[in-house]
Amino acid sequence: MERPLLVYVVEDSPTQALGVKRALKSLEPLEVKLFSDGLEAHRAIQAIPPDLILMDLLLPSLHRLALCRLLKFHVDYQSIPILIFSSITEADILEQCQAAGANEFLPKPYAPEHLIQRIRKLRPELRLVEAQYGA
Amino acid sequence: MGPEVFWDDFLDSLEHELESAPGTTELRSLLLQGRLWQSWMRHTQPRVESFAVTEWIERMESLGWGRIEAESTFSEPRQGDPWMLELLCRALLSNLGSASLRLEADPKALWLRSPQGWPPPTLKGPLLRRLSWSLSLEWHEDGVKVPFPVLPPTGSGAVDLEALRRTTLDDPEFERELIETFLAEGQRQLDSLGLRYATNVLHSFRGSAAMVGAYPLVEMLACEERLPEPGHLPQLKKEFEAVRQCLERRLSELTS
Repeated sequence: MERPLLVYVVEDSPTQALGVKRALKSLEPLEVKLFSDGLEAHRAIQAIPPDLILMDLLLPSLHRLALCRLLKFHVDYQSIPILIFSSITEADILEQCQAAGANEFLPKPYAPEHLIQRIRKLRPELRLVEAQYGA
Repeated sequence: MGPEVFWDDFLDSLEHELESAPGTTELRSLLLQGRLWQSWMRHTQPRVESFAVTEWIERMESLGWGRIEAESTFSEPRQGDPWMLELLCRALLSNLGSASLRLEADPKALWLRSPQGWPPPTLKGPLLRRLSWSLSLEWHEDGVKVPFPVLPPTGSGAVDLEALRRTTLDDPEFERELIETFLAEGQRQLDSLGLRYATNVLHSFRGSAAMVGAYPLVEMLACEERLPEPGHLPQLKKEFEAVRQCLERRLSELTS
């Protein structure tokens, strides 16, 4: 039996977290854990490293890209793909995320299918469950 | 030259365009900024020149004000098209410096990048939304006071239900859950803003409002995020109430 991929979603807005969680239902095999706080997520990652991290930029407890940098500059966690989504509109936000080691950046608001496409780019072993996203 | 250029004709053309065609919130906000700049110029420097809208791109680049990259795989914008006008306005009036515009293949994913962090538009419906604004400027000795734009009663326009349907993937159960979650979260955020008018709360609120298609509220929050004004909280509350009524009607439809 294949092991489901463990995905941590770090988003402090319940509404937006719900949107991500619903979009992820169209992928398998997957297990999703939600965190609303950067430090809480960091502790969880240290306890059980996930296979993928989806995170917002503005999070309680940690400054912007701090969580991403913490992970990407640690030998035990730097291989975990990180997708950052944010509605921050600074001109160089993409460059900032790339410099911090993020693997993907998705500006908000995004269509659910775009999120799925980016996730499958990072973890191609994930399969689509629902036909509405296409193959 | 640079900022000394005076855009009487440009701003008049823009204003005329907006009188005869629907325009986005951002477009009208940019007109406001242009009028502010015009007011400042009138009080500090004599009029230098004006130029036609059609010469705008070359003028901006020759002044070293910015570089416009307009790559579009969708369609070629037409001169005079309000949509193209909006793009040009954004780069010029919102920055007075360097800017780049990139048109994604899907025009609904238009993404503006500017040094001043102009918020991206939330265009999931028609590019030009039918909003009517009234703008007025008050000139004071120490500057120009910018009143909060007066929005018309939003009524059924408070929420783009088609956008909400797309976000929720035609799943009524998810739509119900999303609406309930947003209404609870939105009220908490408004309460939090009443205690402290924090930009991170405005930012988060904006993201959540976009999820449910409450685009007028999104734009109001975007304005506040740029220039927080605690005195505008009652207007935010009023708009949220319009959103609540619209979403509660939708909830009734979903549960009936």
